[in-house]
Amino acid sequence: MEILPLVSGICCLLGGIGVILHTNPINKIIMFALLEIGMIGLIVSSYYLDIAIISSLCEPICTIILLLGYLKYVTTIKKKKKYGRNLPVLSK
Amino acid sequence: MDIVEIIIGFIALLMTVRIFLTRSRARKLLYLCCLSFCISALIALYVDSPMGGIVAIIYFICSTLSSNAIAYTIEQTKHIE
Repeated sequence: MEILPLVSGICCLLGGIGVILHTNPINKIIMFALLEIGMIGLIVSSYYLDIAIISSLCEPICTIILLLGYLKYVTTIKKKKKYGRNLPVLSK
Repeated sequence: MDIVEIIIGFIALLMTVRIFLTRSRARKLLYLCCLSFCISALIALYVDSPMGGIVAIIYFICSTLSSNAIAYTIEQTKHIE
């Protein structure tokens, strides 16, 4: 029984449960990063090393795109509360 | 089964459970960074070749960058609110 597949499998399992259970968006993104850590560990434990390099390079890009979308969502909600009375186009 | 792998694996399991259970978001990021360091060491110990070292180096840099991006976003949301 090797150590790396065991730890990576537990990371994948807890990350998948955590994405479902947590409600705050930043907590969901943290749990998604934990799931990606488990995925890369399982790829390395099967000796697909070149695919592991490409996955490691693509992981932060995915996380940064999700975070940019979250920031734009938050700023849009704040602007809606700020100009909601003056501009009837933005209010429902 | 090496004794070094057993110790690092135990630390990684502890960090995984603590990420799942703590409520503070800053502490969650700290434990996520520690877990990525542990997995990087396990990769370098599991694959006994120079290619394993290259994978460990690239994984170390990219996972640290991802954690820092999440921390910067938490600071920006506090600044907006």
